[in-house]
Amino acid sequence: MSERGNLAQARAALVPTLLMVVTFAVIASGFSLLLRHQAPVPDMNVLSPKLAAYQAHADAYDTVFIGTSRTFYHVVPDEVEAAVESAGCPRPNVFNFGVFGLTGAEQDWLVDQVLEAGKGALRTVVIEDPLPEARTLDNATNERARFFHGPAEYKSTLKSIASFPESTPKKIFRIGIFGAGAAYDLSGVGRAAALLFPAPEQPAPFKLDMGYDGFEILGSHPTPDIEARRKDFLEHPDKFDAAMARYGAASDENVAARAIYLQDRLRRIRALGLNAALFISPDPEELDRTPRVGVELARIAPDLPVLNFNRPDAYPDLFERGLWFDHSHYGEAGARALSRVVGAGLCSELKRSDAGAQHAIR
Amino acid sequence: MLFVEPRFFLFFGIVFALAWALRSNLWRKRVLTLASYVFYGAWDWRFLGLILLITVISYVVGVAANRYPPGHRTRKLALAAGITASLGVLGVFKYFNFFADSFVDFAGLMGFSAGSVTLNLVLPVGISFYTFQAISYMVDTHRGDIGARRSFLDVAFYIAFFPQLVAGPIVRASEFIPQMDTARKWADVSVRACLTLFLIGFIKKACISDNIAQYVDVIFADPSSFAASQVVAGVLLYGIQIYCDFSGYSDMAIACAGLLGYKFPANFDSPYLSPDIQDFWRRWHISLSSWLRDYLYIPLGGNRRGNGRRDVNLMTTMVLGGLWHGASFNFVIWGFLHGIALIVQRGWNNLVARRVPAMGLLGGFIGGAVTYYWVNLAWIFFRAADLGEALAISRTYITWSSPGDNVLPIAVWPLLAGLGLVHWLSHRFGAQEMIERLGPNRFAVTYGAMAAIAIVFVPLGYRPFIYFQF
Repeated sequence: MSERGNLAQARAALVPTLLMVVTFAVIASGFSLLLRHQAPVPDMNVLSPKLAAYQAHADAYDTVFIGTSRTFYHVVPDEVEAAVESAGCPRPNVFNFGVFGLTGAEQDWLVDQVLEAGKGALRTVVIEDPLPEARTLDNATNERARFFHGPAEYKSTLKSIASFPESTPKKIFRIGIFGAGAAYDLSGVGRAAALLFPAPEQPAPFKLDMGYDGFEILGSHPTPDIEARRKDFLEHPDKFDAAMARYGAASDENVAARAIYLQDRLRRIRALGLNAALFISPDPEELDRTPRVGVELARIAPDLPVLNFNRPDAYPDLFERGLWFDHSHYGEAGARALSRVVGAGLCSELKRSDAGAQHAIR
Repeated sequence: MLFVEPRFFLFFGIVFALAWALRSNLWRKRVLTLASYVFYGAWDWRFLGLILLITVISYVVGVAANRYPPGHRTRKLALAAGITASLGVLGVFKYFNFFADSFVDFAGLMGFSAGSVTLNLVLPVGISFYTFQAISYMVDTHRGDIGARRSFLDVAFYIAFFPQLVAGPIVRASEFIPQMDTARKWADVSVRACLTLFLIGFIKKACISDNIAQYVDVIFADPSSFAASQVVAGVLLYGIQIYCDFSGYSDMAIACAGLLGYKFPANFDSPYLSPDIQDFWRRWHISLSSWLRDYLYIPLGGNRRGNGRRDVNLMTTMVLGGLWHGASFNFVIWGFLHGIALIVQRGWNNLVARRVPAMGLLGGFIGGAVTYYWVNLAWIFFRAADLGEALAISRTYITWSSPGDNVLPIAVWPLLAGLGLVHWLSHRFGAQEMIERLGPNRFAVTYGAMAAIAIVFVPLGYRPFIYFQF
């Protein structure tokens, strides 16, 4: 066929193709949004059992730590409570709401859930700097990611990605992965199937031993991933040394936007008359980033408490190699040591804070 | 790589663009053959050697057919050796353990002790399909139905062409090879027909088969815990699952080949609406049943040597057809049940049907119901993990009694009725043709809407096509 013929054929196909794509997109996203409301909240490992436990006993807790695996495996409620009391504050009752891999949108959603369930009893909310969006397609399309990829979470996710201190190409890549995850969700794939063809045998819901108020000793429930991380830590001590050397090194990653992002979240909690603080856990792999975020937040919002422990110069004892389970998480001894310091720091900040004085933790 | 996976769409998009961008027929065949090897290698690259071996055997037999005249001893020997070698490869991978174990069991029954020898072999995907295609090439060239190819590429392309490579349809050499001689023309491609067929296949596989598979699985895993009505429904669901799974694959394969300019024969024609078992086999897995008819039943003598011999030939064909699906006595029994039904029907036609007046629509309905019931009874043996399980489910299917009282979490009988109605309506009114006939813009809107609705019914996670194991 001549080139002119090919061109004419391509032109003739263009309108129907566009019509097909637009029809598909409109109907698929319409179905997706409609059916999303019918779908139950998925059962998510760690998150779901913790949320259920907190909602069932919210009136018993006045202090909640919300964050990533650094909160999950590092904040021992009993130790924090004892340390707060030793430091001269009333003994709080602490709930650990650490969830591994917690992203910005997830943390915002969790804060909402905690504020709603904790009305009356809740006095203090301590948040962590959350992780940005997932970096792999699998992590962006699993059930948990899908739940947090609804249109209501777009703004929150984009704000988290945009403010995260990393290079522009990395941000673009994360936005691309998020876009793919959002498109996957908007396609509505599986939504009607899950409703109309329920599984004959439901998988057992995720469970978590809540005897430690949400804390878990890392390695107490080994998985292949956890074992691999431990093995890597033991076999590559040089990585730990290299990570430690990054503390204080010059970085071109801009932390100002992240500090503003965190300030907005803390102020929102404070506006409800609660104490709010930012917790920055020791983490050798983040030594070039999170300490600077904490310093920047303290600079722009001196009234907001920042519990910044990712500082080897200020807390050298917390960076002893023996305390660490892997390159970025403590074992039990490390978690207990940190929690004691966190308790003392929290009491000190609460004494200083207006909101803290006003509420005087029960 | 499954036809319903996003990575297949990417793969096909690239192959489609490349194939049509090339003007040279030779280069198109090269690209499509290479793509077919990539497609097959995506499962397990180690078996590429096997497909290449089968191709070499076929090519050599073809060369012999070219060199020696019909009836020449060497030509016959080459064909016999080629078929034996191809079936030998199939036999080693698919049947060695079955026959070795059966021999040990038989020796045990006779009072002898024989040591068990089993090979730890993985069954290569689609081996039965491409072996039969290879045999088709060897026999067709030997018979002179088509001229043997001088080009090794042509034989490799015919055997490996990816749309039909792993689960058919089994395309005859005489049907496909002539299409290779000229560059396919885009103007000859019925795009709307191909796209519609692909979507229908996708819906059958991903939206119907994959959703009901979970219920079939739990019922066949523990039939005694379910109420009889659920077990019977589970059997009927399996009949729908395997039909939608296999005919869905065939539809998508035919559509993909069509979009690349090649025509494949139809493989299904609403088989569950057949008024009798003979008609069922004209409408179910047509490419296999006609292959077995032309390359096995007729060479065995067909119906040319009297009724007794005809029945033996029929039963032999059906039992071997059952065994073709897998090395298990369950498949043998499945073939046997179909053989029995075909023999009974021939007897009925000869002895009864001629002497009573035709019953018209009612007769067709009764015949269809009996056929459907029997076909589903046979499916039990096809699906069950072992003979004991098959017998237990058959008992419930026939007696409608079960000790269990579990029920499925869906309204299974209305679902069956709904699927049956859709099947009938689609056949009666030609849904596929109705969509194809729409104008370009209406077609585009209808297609986009249908695809969007289909997507929400696709369950998460992929299930391989049932016929991949064969």
